[in-house]
Amino acid sequence: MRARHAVKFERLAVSMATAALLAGGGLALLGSIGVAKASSRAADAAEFSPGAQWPYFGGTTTFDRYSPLTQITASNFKHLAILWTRPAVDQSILNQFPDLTPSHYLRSTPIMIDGVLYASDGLGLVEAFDARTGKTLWVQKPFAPTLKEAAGQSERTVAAWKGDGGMRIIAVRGQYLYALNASDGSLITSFGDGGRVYLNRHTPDGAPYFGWNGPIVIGDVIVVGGNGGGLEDGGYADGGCCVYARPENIRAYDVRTGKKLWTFHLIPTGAEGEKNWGDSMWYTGNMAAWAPLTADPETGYVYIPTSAPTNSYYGGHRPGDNLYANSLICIDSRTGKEVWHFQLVHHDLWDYDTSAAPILADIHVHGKPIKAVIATNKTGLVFVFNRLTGKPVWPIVERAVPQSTVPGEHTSPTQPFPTLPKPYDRQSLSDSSLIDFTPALNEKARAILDQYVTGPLFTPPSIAGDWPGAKKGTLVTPGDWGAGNWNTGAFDPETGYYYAASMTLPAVFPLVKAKPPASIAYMEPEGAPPSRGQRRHFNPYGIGPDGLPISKPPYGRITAYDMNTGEQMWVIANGDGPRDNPELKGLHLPPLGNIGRSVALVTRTLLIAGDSGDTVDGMGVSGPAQLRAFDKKTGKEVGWVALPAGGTSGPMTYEVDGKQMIVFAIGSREHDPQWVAIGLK
Amino acid sequence: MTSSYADSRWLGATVFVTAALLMLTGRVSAATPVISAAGGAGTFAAKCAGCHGATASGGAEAPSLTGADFWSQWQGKPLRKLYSRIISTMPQNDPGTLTEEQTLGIVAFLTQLNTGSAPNPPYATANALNTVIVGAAKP
Repeated sequence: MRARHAVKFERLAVSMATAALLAGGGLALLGSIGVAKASSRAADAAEFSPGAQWPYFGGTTTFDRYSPLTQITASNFKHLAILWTRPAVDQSILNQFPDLTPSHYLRSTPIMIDGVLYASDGLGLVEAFDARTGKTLWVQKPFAPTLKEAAGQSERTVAAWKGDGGMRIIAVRGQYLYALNASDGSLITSFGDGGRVYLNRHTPDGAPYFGWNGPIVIGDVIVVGGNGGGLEDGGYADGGCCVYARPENIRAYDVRTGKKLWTFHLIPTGAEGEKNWGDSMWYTGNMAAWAPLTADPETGYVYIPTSAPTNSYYGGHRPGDNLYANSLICIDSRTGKEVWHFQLVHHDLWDYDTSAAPILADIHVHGKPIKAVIATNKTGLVFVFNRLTGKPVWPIVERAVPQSTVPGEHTSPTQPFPTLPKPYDRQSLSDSSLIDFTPALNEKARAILDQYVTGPLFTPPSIAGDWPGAKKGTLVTPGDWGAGNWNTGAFDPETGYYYAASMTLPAVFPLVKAKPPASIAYMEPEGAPPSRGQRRHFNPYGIGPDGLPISKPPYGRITAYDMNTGEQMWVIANGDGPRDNPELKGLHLPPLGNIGRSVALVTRTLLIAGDSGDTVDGMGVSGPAQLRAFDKKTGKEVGWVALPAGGTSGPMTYEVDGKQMIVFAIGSREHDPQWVAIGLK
Repeated sequence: MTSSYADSRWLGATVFVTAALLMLTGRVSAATPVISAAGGAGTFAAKCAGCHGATASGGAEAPSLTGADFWSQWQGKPLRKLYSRIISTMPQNDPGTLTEEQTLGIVAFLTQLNTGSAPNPPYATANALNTVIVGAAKP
């Protein structure tokens, strides 16, 4: 399997080389797969190839989070140590701007190519550091020497491109797409406007573009999603009091020049738009592809996970299924044309974004090889398609779902449910699923549940009433943070196993009639236009008695599937969870699972996943944490490493000078953000 | 919403007295803007409330900025730390766009909200926050 990465990147390299020969500017051609290695450029790009590297956020652009490395094993995992650490922002930048204080949420997963780690730092600037030592090689300079240009937040990753005799680092930061020289971090001044391209799009309120996932580079094409469509209250445009927004359309740029190549519009035009949106096709939006994008270098297809439309919880103004919201879209990166799509949620009322990277997986079903794509969203459902055609590998059926009682709503009568695989997390709450460690806790949980409308998956938000006997809205499981999120999913190409890391975090969705000047009819309470309404977490587990979850465990889990059969193989609780809660004292409970965004890493011998830090709204471990290793086949824990804080990015691994290292970002509310490198001493 | 914002009469008196004292002691000139929690409340409403809520109590996508859980992260540290974090990273979708004056106002507003009293005297520059140690959250 070691050659697997080599093959893909060699093909990519050949493709790029051929494109360079053919292209006279504009969109280069990718259709040269299989051309024999002939140019020096192909040889250059082959340096991407060994499995000892980690050239993209998810390992490769197929995003399996898999490495064939073998040095770190079950028997030596407990001997791993932190070999070096690195602060979230290089001291040279802090010296220049002493006020800069990065967020403790360091999202950044480095990539590693040729012994160098490239990462978005705590301010979103790209830093290059030695993969052996963590020592600084270069730091991207702010575009201008001002605090305004230096301020920022981390991105989840950066991308790399090799060609024309050099290598570029492609990064999104703030409102711009940057191209940097990988050797020294200098701007590629022939790219865009002096090294960067303005990504802003004219929203109703001029809300600035922002996106956390960074770009993907496929061939000579950069593809960019985003985080929102702009809204009167700014930002995500998925909650609030305003129906006016813009779709966060998918855009592609020439990696050499920064010239925009195509835009994929997320609201269809003409009759299809009218059918899907009514009049709102002209004025509403969002649907941002904020989860990682993936791409198949063999076909040039890019896989786009889209999110909820504006507003996520009330859709009275947007009749129809609202295509391409909540979808998986396969786009040909050469043309920007759709190859196929599948909508995972119709007319979203729950913010059930397609929140995880679509993982490209080669599987065998009934002995037949299938080039598949595995998609999941916040619901915990797993959708598996032939990635070339969009045909479901196992039937996906439309099932009737509960209908909204909120005036003016247009609930979809059905939603798609995969017949295989089974979902990986809890999808509803009822008396039988409530916490029952003690009778008192169970009684309190029942009392909480009684206050809300509940039902199966896709039970819509409801009016929060103040009359006697009225419910306080709908208690939805999974909530809007999702069972799955950007962290979910890893695939083992050797065994065909898919791993879903998830958490159980219900949320209350109450709606009230909006008041002027809100342009939406119903919204979440406590909003005062232009401020959006607010949905609360009542405790770290969403809601529950005495600071505990409302449901039975596990609260954070890993689920393994054999994707050759669609069968669920095992489920484990990931971490201790609230075992130390005073209410549970003396009960000697087994691990209950930590909530948070645990990210799995698969190697030749291990499944590795740890605790996440509590930097995002308290979801995660607040103190010291663990990185754990599991038997890939059984889920049995085989070792762990102590960390000063939980992870805030995905663990990646590489080998340099014969040593395998695992690097990822950690941080908590109390612990400063940093990268740690773990390996054998 | 308004109950969580500063009491305007109390604040007005505080600002007047402290501004007068500052002018007398020469710490800031009469031309230096005095940053008030009330002014910061306005900035907060415009720049922060979209995600953190009109009362800073947080929402599904942003943490609460009130209460011991939040304030304990800053307690015992120089107030400049809170200022620096805000001006470095916020607003999330457009960091770097808050001015020093706006950020000082937000800091004053959050201090008022969490401790029950705004920084006294009010600080007109970020440097003045270096030696101010964040106190405990109000019960």
